[in-house]
Amino acid sequence: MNEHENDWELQLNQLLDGELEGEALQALQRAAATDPELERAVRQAHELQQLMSALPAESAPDSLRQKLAAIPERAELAADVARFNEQRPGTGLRWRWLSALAVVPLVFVLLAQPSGPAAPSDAELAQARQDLALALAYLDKATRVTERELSNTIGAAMRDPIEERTVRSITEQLNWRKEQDA
Amino acid sequence: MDSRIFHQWVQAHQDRVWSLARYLLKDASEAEDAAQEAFMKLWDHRHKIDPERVGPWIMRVTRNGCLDRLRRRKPETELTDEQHSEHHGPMSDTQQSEAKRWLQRAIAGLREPYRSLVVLRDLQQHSYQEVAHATELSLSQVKVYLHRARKQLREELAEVRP
Repeated sequence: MNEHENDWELQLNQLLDGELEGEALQALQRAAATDPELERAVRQAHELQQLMSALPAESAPDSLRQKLAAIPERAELAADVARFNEQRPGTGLRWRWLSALAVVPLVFVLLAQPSGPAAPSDAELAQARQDLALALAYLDKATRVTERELSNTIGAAMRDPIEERTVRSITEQLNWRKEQDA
Repeated sequence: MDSRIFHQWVQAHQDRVWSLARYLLKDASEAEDAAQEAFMKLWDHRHKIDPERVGPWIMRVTRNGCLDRLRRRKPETELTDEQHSEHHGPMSDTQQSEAKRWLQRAIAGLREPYRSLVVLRDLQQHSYQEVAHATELSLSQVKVYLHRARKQLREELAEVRP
């Protein structure tokens, strides 16, 4: 290509746009006849133009056509649902959000709960200690009464001839103690 | 505006929108999603758009949506030209000549904004003004970039057809 390279490039561009005609087109053809590089550039520009114009236009696939055709209907349906929810505050999006926000602290409380039985409080422990002390006191008293009864029974038996009821009384006392120990 | 006019707009522009998305994304499924998104935006903005400028508007929204998708795409998921030609549709018709398939691959291999400019101007025959509006470039930028894109295609053509 010669010193007119930029001019030729512009004209090749015009050629591809289909805007080069008349005298300008003839001038380019004359120049190309004496310049092999320009001649090849013109030929390739023509070829490129032909290839582009011959390229088949793509058609949108049926799946897309169906989606596009359904846009107004779907949009209006969505708008209807939104209006319906606006008219019913209890079921509206706003109320759903508020309900969801109210549930959040409850979930945290539930999650914070231990999975096993609840630990006793200090007051409950003090009450349990009192109950245990009272129970031990009753048990001690019962033991002393039983020992006294036993001593009296055995003592009386030693004075009196051993009878069947004496043996039975001792056996009952011994069994009772065994049960307590168990 | 009623849905009847919207349907007219869809009929008028769906093929071009689809084609641009296919060239930019090189993936039929993603191109379909991008085209649908663009028309949903058109529905949302239908009362604000000048009916005379719906074409450039929808092409600009489509292109921007595709470029967003390309930016979000991981580098390793960039599709090759082979994948582009393997997808179903008229472009992958085995009856097409080798030269046409070469041209499709060559256009798909151009970087932005060259690819959009060639598709919008040379394949879809939009005016320079419409291309400038769709690509958000100045008129002079469109001419300069398109000039470079065509020169690149000519040079690639020279390699396969000396």
